[in-house]
Amino acid sequence: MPGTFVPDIAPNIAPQTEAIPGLGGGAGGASGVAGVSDTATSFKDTVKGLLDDVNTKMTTSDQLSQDLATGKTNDLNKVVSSVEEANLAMNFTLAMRNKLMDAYQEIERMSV
Amino acid sequence: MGFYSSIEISASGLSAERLQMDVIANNIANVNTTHTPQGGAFKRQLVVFGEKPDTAVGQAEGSLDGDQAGNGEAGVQAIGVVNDPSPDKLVFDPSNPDADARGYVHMPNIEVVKEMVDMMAASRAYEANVTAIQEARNMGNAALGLLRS
Amino acid sequence: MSDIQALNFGSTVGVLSDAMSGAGTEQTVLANNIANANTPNFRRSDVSFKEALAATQATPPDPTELTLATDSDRQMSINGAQAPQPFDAQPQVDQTTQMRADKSNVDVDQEMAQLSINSGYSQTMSQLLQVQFMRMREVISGNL
Repeated sequence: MPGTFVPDIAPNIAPQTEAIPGLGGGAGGASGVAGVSDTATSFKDTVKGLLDDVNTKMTTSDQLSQDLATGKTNDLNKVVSSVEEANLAMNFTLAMRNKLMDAYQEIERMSV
Repeated sequence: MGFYSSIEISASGLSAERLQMDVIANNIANVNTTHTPQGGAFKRQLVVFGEKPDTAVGQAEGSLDGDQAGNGEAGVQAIGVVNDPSPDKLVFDPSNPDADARGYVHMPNIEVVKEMVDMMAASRAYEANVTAIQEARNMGNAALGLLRS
Repeated sequence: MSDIQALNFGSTVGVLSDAMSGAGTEQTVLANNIANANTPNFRRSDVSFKEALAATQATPPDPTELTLATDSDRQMSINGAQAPQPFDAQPQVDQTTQMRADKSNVDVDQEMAQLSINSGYSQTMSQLLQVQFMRMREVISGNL
């Protein structure tokens, strides 16, 4: 799943997002990757950091679900909150990806 | 702490109160028993309750006492059913075949009114444990409700 | 993006659905225990499906212990990796608990509490499984 939806447009979008401060800042601020500064890292690194974060959350939530099933943990609240966090992270990433596609298509439509 | 272990704790309470009810019912049924196989009148019985040591409950993460198995308490258990050592009631009745040399009959040291009060207490405790189980289930369902939306 | 690990949808879905089927077996066994609450000389049964579930997952070798070298799956490995076993939860008769006067070891309160726990567990597994499928559907369709 994560390998498919960041297409090769990323290097093309990078120059444009520097002109859209909200998008670059939003992606940097919301990625949750510690210490992201919007001047030093490229857009591609930001997105990769976000995807790694989502992947970690999903692996954690899967592992906790399996532990609950086999009885290794009895803490239902921890499992539920980790599953919900992973869902939200993935939904956020999907929403961002949709917005990026829309932005790219809009840019494409611009007559030169 | 998981809600499974909370239900098991309440279940131990249910079993304990049910045993208490059985013993009380036995006392009330034997309120006039002057003749037992051990000799003498029937003695009132009490149940002694103690905290159940935490064994399997402590092995999973999120248990009552953290990560030390076997050191916490997880519910109640009946340690034993003992006889009440207080003296028998003596009733003067020389015509009774169980009368002793001076004509007194040893009657069980059971007060029916006190047993009824104990029975009401045990019944209320049983209901309280049932409510605790239902609340634990509701809490679990509420946590699951987060995933539903 | 090639260094992102593949997500492990398969194993979680398998474990959760095995958990639900194990809970179903346990439900039947508990209902049988409760139905026989007044049968003299009855022995209650239970299903330890959580242990069977744990056995379906391959365990990695313990890094702090020396392991026994094996060159076949059929040899026992001490402290080594355990291969996953297929999920097989069978009811077992419980001989251990305290007997009542009529030689039956069913305690109705305990059975009812286990019924409640099992039902909650099954609902939890069902919700988690639903979340797994919902994630897959979201990714396939691309819409939230």
